[in-house]
Amino acid sequence: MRLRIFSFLLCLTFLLKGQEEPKKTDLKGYVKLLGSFNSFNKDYFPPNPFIADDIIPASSQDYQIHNRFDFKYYPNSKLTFGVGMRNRLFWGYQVENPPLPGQPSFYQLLDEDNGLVDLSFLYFESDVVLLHTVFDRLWGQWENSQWMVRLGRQRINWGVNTVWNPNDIFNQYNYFDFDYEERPGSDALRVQYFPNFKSTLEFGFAPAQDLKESVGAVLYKTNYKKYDLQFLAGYYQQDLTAGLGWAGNIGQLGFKGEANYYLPLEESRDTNFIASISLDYQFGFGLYTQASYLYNGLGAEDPDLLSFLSLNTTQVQDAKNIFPFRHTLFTQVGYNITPLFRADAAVMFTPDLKNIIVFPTLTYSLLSNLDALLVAQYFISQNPFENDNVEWLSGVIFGRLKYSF
Amino acid sequence: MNKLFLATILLWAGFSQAQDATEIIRRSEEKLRGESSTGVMEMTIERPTWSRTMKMKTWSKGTEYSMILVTEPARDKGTVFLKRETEIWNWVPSVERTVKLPPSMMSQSWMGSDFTNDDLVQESSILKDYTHELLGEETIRGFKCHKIKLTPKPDAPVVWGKVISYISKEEYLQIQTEFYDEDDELINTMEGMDIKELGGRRLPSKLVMTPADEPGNRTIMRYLDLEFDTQQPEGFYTTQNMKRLR
Repeated sequence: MRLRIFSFLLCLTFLLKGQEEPKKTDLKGYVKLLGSFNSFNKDYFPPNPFIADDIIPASSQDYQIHNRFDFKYYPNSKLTFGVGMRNRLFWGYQVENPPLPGQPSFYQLLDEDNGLVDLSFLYFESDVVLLHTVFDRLWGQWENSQWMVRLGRQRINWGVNTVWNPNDIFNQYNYFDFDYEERPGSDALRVQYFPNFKSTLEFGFAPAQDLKESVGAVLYKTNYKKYDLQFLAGYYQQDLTAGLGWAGNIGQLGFKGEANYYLPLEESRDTNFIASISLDYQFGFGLYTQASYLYNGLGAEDPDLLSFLSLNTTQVQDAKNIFPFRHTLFTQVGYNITPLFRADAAVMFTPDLKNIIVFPTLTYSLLSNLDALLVAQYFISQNPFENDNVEWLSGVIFGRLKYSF
Repeated sequence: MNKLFLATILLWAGFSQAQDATEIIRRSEEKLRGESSTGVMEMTIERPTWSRTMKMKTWSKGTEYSMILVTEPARDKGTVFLKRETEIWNWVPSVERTVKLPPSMMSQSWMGSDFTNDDLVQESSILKDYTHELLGEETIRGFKCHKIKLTPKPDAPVVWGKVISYISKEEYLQIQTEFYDEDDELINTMEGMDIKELGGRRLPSKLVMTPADEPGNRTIMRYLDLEFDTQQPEGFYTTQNMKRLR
């Protein structure tokens, strides 16, 4: 049945795409082929049964075909409806093998929908392949020149900074999940009011099934002396929160930042302060450079291996505790070797240099709508088992082809 | 007395010549810009082994405000650039986010082309940010042109050392513009071609930007449609409106 609905939707979207009726509908999306080549440093750990029995293999491969549709319908100038559909077909090591003891299976992690309504569907699962669909956007919007009201599953993006976004309290995202640019949505009501052309007053409310876990906040945005400024205050999952963010410049340098404070309503919970600032600059010959710093009061000051291991592409971070380390630095350089070929290198690290994550990235435009991407994520950490050497623990190389339509 | 008279004449002559050069620039700019405009453009980046084409809609009001919406290729569709006075924002539709660009991005290549961000959103104005000097006449591709040297004013937001502009004597069209760096070395040449009626005015409909030191490379910007004095509602050039464009 579900498969039939799926194929019906596919046909419908293609039909609408073919229809040359401008303005009323809009469909865009892509198909991606992604391969992940995982490697794990077995020598990092002292001999133990997990490694001896290959429960964690030294290398493994995972693959997916990833398709996305973003469909919009504009019945008139005031109404808009949006649907975002993410379809993924998986095969490889994760599908074929059981999870580590005590860990949820890949199937369970994938089919978990944190929203009010379950819009996540596993069409079929076998020991070889897995097909999964999630609707991460499903909303209706009404607007006039001064108001914009959107209801449904949507992304409320309040971030203004580059890498870390403490202000993004509705949909925190995971930096390591580079293959999900659109990021998950939340089931929410968003009301925007434009008192003048420079300012926006905004209200967002994302109820949770357990009402206490809801998020509701007000944001005021304005532009003052060439700075985009914003202030927010609200309720976040049993805490009160207040924050501010800015995007401006110091001379030719871009200067951005965000900070949030959390005040618990119950004594047993923690207060927290999270702040991130960044500077970026593009040199005349085209080299882009960026540096960022993140402070997270709840992060570990001297992170152990477990907090390091918690960083991976499947984990969605919590807005109140967005990164496992107390202090994290990030630097990035990027350069367009030709208009079609870009190279980037980024490093995320703790100031004591005991935890380092390296991300080299190469992008190449093969054809107008066909792009190739090569990304690596290497995790390097001080080895508590052996002489406290800083050595590599695990790494993933991703190869991706993307066709956009 | 005679000396003073001569000096006055010379000064006046020099002044009036500068006035002439400025007047020529002003007339050519007026032709090109108007109070406001709306257009559809196609940009092709050409390299010896490949080429890429991009389509966009553009809106502008004076030199202060402009907006660009990318409509093709599919990968970049829906991307918007907004310029308001000296600030620039970029709307990234896939991430649903407005990104404020650092000022150092101005001199950078726009989406990989031979045009810079500055060329596109016209932060600097050839009228206001330069002093103008008439160098003489020259014939370029059959057009009799005024040859004018533009020198940036000291605190102008300009990336060039000097600019030489060839403006047709008959219709005040910018037939050719040469951009030099601070060491007086030619960096880019822009040619205005295919003169035809656009929005009720005769204008070059095709601009070709050729970098001096890279043979085989060029970027062609073609106006497919252009209208002048298109009044946009108040609040059109705002970050609020960026995400509404389509």
